[in-house]
Amino acid sequence: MSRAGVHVLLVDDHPQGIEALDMRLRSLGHRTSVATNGEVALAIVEKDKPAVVVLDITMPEVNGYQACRAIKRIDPAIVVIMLTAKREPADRFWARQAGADDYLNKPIDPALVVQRIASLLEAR
Amino acid sequence: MTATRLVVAVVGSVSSTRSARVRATLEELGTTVVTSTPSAAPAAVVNGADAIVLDVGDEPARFAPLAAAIRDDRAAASLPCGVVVGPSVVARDLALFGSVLLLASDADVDARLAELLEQARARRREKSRTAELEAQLVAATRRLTKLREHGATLAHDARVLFGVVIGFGCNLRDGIAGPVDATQSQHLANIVAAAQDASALVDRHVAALSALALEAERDQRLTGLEARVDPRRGLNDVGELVRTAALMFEGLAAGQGISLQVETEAVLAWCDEVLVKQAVVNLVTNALKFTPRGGSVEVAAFRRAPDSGGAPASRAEVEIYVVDTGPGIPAEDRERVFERGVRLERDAETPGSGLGLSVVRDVARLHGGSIRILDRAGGGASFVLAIPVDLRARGDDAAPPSSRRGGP
Repeated sequence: MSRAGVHVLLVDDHPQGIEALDMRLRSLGHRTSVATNGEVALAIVEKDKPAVVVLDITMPEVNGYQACRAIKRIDPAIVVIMLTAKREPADRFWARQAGADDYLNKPIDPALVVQRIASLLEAR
Repeated sequence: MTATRLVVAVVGSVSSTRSARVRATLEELGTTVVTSTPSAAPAAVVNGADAIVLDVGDEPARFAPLAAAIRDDRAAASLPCGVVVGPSVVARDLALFGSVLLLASDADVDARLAELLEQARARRREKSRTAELEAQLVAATRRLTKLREHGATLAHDARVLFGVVIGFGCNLRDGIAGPVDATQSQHLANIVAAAQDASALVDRHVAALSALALEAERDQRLTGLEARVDPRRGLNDVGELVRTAALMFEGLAAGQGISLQVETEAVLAWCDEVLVKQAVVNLVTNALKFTPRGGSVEVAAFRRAPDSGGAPASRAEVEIYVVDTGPGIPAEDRERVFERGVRLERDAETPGSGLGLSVVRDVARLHGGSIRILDRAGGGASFVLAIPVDLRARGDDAAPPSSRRGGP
């Protein structure tokens, strides 16, 4: 990643789903926060304005789409990447409607997620 | 079924001795006889009957109109029908009744009536067997639908777990968790590749399974079995229906310099095809009316599983989106625009009656669904019409009061 020390918030109700990505981002010198539900994620976004949020979709209470809308209302400049095992054609559409900047499918090499984060930040 | 007595409709002159003998024979053979006259309507004659006997005697011409009406009526024409004639009737008169009728003269009337009843019994057996097979087919298709849903869950959960294997495998391979030598790195790369293959394999087979189930569900729709439950609703592919309705506006949109995009997936839902199409037409018309040249209108239809959020109730719906880049609808007007005859003050210049959106709301209500206007990043209006996929699963509560009650 071109910029070091970027704050990335990782949101997944099953933390094992993002643990490998978390380790990799930290090993590259980035700061990470982890939330296991949408509400905690929004509290972190309000307080700490991360540059990037990596969001799972299937979560109880506040799901990924709802969280994405709320994040974009707080600050449209925050880059939101959906990272999900859902693969119906509808999901991409809804992610776009919710304002997500990108949509990636699990399973994925965490190196690819890191690349996407870099290029999306580059494009800002 | 076989326990109940056969019902035979006898049409003829009640007073004649021959008529009395026909009725007596039928009763001796264990049937219930219902009599009527040649002037009765065919529907009244065949009402609940298993067979018809036209006791024409020596007046075949008097019965000709009824015989013709029976041949033209689908339900009546499928019933075994016999004609009892008097001795003076000639072959030319019999032509009035067509070739499908069982004919009896005085000489062998008892034997021919027994034959007629055998046909009626065979027809009953056939009908009950058909109903049984139809019920089995419906149940089998329901099981396939369940199988398809389990497949989707399996594929999803497998992706998540393979994601963990691949994520950590890639980290180890790339030395994120400490140095690895070339051999270790190669072994890890093999593990990652195998996990990726396995995940793709699960996806491929689940997709094939799902396509097969969907095909069976469609076939069932084509046989029209389920459509008998309620004549106004049928099993429709809403994705296809929305696509067809939206693409009718392609030319109009192009003429107005508006880009029209349509994105749908196949979603079978229990709905009234005509009404849903009308709702889509109204939404798209509305969107095109308010979108300026150079703008875009996006129409989409997807299945929304109960877990994918947005919808509070735990039921699957098909969601129809019509999203435009017009001026949008202010939050305070989002309920009001669906009222009959309501138009927003700022739209006074644009032609319209204020009825289109109220029709959309009615269609939503009739189906136990909903119509919402969503916030849209970057302005514009975003309408979402949601139709429950299976109304019957929820009972009849969502059906309008005038609709027929009761299941198959």
